[in-house]
Amino acid sequence: MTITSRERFLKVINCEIPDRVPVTLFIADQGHFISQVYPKVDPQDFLTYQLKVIEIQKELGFDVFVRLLYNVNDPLSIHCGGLDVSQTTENWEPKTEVINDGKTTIYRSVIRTPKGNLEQDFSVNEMRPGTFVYACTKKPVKTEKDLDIVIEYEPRMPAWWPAQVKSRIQPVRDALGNDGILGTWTPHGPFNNASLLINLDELYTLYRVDYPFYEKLMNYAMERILDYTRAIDEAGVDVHCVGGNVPGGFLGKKNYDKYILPFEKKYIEFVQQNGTPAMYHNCGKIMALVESYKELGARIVEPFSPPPVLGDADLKKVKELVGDAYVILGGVDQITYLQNGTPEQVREVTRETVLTGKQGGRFILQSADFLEYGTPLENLEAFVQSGKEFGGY
Amino acid sequence: MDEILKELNEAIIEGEFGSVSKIVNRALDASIEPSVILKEGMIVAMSEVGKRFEDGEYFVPEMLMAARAMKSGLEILRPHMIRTGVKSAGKVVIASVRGDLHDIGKNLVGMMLEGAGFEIVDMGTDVPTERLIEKLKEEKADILALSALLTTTMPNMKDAIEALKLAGMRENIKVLIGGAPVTEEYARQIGADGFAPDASRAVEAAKSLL
Repeated sequence: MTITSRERFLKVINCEIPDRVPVTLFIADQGHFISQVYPKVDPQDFLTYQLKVIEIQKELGFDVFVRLLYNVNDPLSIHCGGLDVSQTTENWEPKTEVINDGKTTIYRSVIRTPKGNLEQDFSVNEMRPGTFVYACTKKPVKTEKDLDIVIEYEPRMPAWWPAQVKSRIQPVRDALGNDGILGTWTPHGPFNNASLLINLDELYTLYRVDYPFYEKLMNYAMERILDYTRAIDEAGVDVHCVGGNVPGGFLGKKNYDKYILPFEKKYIEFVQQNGTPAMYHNCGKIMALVESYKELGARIVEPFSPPPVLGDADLKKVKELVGDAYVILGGVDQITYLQNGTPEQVREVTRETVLTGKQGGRFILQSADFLEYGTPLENLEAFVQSGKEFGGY
Repeated sequence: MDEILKELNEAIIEGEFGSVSKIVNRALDASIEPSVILKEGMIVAMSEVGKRFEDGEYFVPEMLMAARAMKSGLEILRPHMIRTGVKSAGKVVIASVRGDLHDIGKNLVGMMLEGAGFEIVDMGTDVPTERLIEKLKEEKADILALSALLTTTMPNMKDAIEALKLAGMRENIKVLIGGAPVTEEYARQIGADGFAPDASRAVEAAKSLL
């Protein structure tokens, strides 16, 4: 009996063995690969891009995984950095100046509140036509006093937001049907979210230097996104993609377990409370934290980026360590092989990866991170063919 | 080793930046030469921090704390170093390349190089190639250290090297590159002089270039 791609994914996520390993792609829903394949799409037409993410995966024969970032995380600051300067209240008055610096546009905001001003820069760089990088390049929280102001005055999610996000997710859900699963990026795990508000080199030591400030920051970083997370969940998604890459393996297991895991775990519990699985994302160094993630509680962890370019994941060792604790989603190197390799190299590395990963189930085969601009379609064809050929149970 | 210098060593290794500046003041009051305080009290400590990182005992937070502790001591020591003519190990202009908005790797490398006695000119992120060239001329730097966290911004490292050639400066400036997607192979391909896989090894790489 044939099963749909959607059923295949859901079986794996529910810890059942399907007919074969689902084979899918991580495609960013703006720029990069999708703009390579569809160069005429307006870069700000996020819905069309998201439908094209489904279209190209179907055409190539993949089990579709469409993950939404743009249009869902609106304002973009809740995912990419900084405070909400899209709203004004009597106690929160942002004034934003636009500065053009070559290919980078800086949105420089001063936010007036009764207890003092906050300042931030949000930068958008057009790295190539149609591909943008967004970041808060001057973070607003420098002191605990700044944080106290933010906690007291930053506006919460507006009442109309849940209806907006539902209306933006629905057309994608309709287009997807049973051809795969739909995920959305939540506004991150707490540590990632805290990194949107304070400089990273402060954050990475704050828990040792000033734990009360750190604890206050982490609790706020979580609290400020719970309403958005709930609204996304109620809009009807299959998976919540939760950013956990900022507290990566380079922090060390001891630091992660003691200072970060308790907060991340609490957020994951919230995310999954209605049964929707969380997929915790840590690209980069992951091996030091593979066992910590067993305590985290996320049903899925990705992407187990392999060396040398992307990370340090050893899939065989990961399978041994993880057992049946969570589903592994990963990991063919999308740069070394999918972008720059030959179809024969792609076929072979995919064969090795899927044969290792599929042991005992709980495995979804995917490109290790978002596909790069300049990825040949023939390599993706080799990837999906090899994944299906060797991924059977 | 002098007891004060040993204490300074330990305070830096443990990241106790609250006490480092006090210990440096005590060392100066005890008439220990600034160059000795720098080399035996501080650079030796940071070298140990680098070793512990490579051994997997220290991680990024411990390195950051140690580097911050070292920096607090350097702020006290710097005027005395200038007064006594202590020279730096070399001058480094460091930047994230054009289009790259990430800075944590660059910041950590900058701190570790400073901890090894280099003078650092940090240009920040998303730095256009032409501004790099201007700054290198202005500062008469020895090394250009470039960081990229995205494969899409890595080509700007090659652009920087080409720009150095066009400006007739390539012979006099060593180029050191690093960042998550950057490899030794890539460094060779684009003609960089050195590659560092992490902040700790950036120190050895920089030293080897001069």
